[in-house]
Amino acid sequence: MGKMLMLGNEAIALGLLEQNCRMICAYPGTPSSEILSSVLQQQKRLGIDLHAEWSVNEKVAFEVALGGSWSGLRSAAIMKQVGLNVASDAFFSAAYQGVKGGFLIIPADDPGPSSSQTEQDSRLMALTAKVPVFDPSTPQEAREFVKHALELSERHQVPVMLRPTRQICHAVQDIDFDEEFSNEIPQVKFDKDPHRWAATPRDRYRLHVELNKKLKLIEAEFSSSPCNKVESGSAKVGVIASGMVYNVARQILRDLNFDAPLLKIGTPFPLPQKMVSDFIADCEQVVVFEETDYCIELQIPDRRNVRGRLDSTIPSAGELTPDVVGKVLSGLQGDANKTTKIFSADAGLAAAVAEQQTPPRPPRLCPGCSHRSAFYAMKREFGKRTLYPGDIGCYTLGANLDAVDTCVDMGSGADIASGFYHAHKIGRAGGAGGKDRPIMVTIGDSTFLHSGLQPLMNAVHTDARFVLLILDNRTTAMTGFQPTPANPEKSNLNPERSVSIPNLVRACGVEFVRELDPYLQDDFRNVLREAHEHCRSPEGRVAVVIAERSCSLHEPETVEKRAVLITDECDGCRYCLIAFECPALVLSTDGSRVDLNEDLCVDCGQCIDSCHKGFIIPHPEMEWV
Amino acid sequence: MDLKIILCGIGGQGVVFLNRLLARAAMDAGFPVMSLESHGMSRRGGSVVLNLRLGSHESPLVTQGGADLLLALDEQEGLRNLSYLKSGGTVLVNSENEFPQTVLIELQRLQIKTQIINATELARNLGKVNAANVILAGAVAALPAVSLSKEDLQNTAAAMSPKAADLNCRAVELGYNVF
Repeated sequence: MGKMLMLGNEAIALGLLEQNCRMICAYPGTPSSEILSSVLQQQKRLGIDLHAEWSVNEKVAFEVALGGSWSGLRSAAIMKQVGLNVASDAFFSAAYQGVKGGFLIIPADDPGPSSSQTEQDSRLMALTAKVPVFDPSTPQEAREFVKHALELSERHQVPVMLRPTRQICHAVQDIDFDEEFSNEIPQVKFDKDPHRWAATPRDRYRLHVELNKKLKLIEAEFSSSPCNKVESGSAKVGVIASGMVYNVARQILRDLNFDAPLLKIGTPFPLPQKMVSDFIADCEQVVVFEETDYCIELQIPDRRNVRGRLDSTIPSAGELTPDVVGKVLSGLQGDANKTTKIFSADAGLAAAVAEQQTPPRPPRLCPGCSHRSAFYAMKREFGKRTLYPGDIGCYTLGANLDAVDTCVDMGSGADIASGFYHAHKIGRAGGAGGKDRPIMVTIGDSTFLHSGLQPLMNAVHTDARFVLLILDNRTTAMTGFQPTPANPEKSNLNPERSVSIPNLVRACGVEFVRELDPYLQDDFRNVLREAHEHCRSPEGRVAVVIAERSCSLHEPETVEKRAVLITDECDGCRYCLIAFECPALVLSTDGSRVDLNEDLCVDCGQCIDSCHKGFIIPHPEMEWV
Repeated sequence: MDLKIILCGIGGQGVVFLNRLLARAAMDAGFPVMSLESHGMSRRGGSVVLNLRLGSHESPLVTQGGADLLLALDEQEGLRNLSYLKSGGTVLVNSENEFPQTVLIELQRLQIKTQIINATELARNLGKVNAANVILAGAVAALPAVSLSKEDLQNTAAAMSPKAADLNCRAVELGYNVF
């Protein structure tokens, strides 16, 4: 038996391996990414026979894993919460059809949100799809819940959701474990049953009725599940909590000397109704703490004595931080002053700190990032009047350079561009504005392969005219360098099976396809100009430029050493700081000039073009490679 | 030992490594550990704030005015997060400068112990500017409230990063002897 410090995501990976899960598919996305990374590491280290893959997107991950389950293997599909939107078509259908080998869907939610486009609660997706949910409150519990969830899935032949929030995924805890993994692979065989696996609408009604029956049985089981428990207390106010906020509420009750009874819910759907109503009946009022939205609260039929998000006792957006929970609980205890004493910053200190006006530090593209060079060249060539639909990845940070005007979801950029193009054309035809402006779309390699292809096909066949700039840094950088189908060499997959992005683009009917290193900024500008002219010529169509250069953080050795010097003539005009925005360029303390932060600079030499006065020059004493 | 700690800095300074070093040293010394890290955007040079609880499996999340210890790898980030400290707490900052006078007065009023350490400079002299985080860890071991010895941290650092064992060992030593 050993002890190891583990991230929640690593504990989930351990749970999957311990429980003999043999097919694990994922698309990376914060906060879920480390689950499959950890599975792949352990698989390599221990030589376990299992199929683990970084799938091309979440829908694919879900469906491949479902095929594994239908063949009899315990299987899991992993993604971030918005990834479940992508997989939802399969998710809803599979709930009716059911599973064979235990099947887990693990969407990681992001209260806050810290790195997502929404704060959506995957438990509510499960409620709508009628899929049972486990909601762990610690890494250790997440690992244990994998077992409960897989067993439940097999017992009732339903897909089951294990829903960790970011606060579980990225929590770190010391975990006891011994590396004893089963060598036994269950019998693999797909048993044909077309009324289930290929169910037509006629079968679906029957399957729906069956699913409802399963949920009834599962609810009864949850009432005596070790995942739910009551901790007694003498106060008349009761607390229902699940997930990380359970720990927070528990700690705060102690800090307040508030002896409230506490019902911990580990299975928020289907809610064990009798257990919950008995608990509520023993209290004068009950408050529900859950993230990210109101899944438990919504299922309580009689909410007269229930406080929560629905009656605005708890804020309806944002993370339930200890400060928020503290205020709610001390209010219910009847002493709001106590909160200010226990859970607040000292007013004098806070004021003195505020006076200092510490500058905010939003995330920025890394020094040497090829995206910055591509954005900078694009902005110089096309300026402010161009429309810049963007997409999701590191390069969304191009917004800092005013080079990203829109960001909706994965793969949306080219669709928004099509919409812009067609709308402006209609506007012009009717004399209602719609000024003809260039449209330059940016999308990363992983995002393009995830869901960028259909928008491109659509643009070709509807004759939308814009330039699609694929920023190919040869990895999925934002989430920790996962391989893509175009760059699988660092994965466990066969490197010879790579997909060619230029060939995909050509196959869509695009005629103008150019690949170029964005570090060659002048050439890059010229190619973008040509691409734009092509796409707006009468015989032209959508044009694609592929910016080819490896991620400087992932493969720093690919950055040629080109040290620069900022000359004494620098007058501190700040143009480079705003237009190029490299973290290694910093304003001197007195604001008179720009200095180079040698600790951050990677010597890419790209900032030379960012000083039009010529004060950033190749370093005279350093040799350029 | 039951300590609520806030660690902060800028993505890329090794705040997560510092967190793991302290957490693992505590685990190896037999203490329960819970922490909340931040992954994802934090590697891009943005502000990073981590919560660490040493000596308990209860919630690692710290309220404003609730931290026993604030560890800052960057001066500005340290300043920004000062109000997490409770009165009588300790702040350890990697910086060249003292806090502004108005802030110092408040810290003194709240009996918050302030220790400024130029870990970046020390690390540069050591030959690796990235080692500032390990130097700070050495300074943590010297705090009376922390039941971790210098050797605990040196052994854990060596186990976590065998290649840099010698360097990290010296870094811990440097930090330990600063005050």
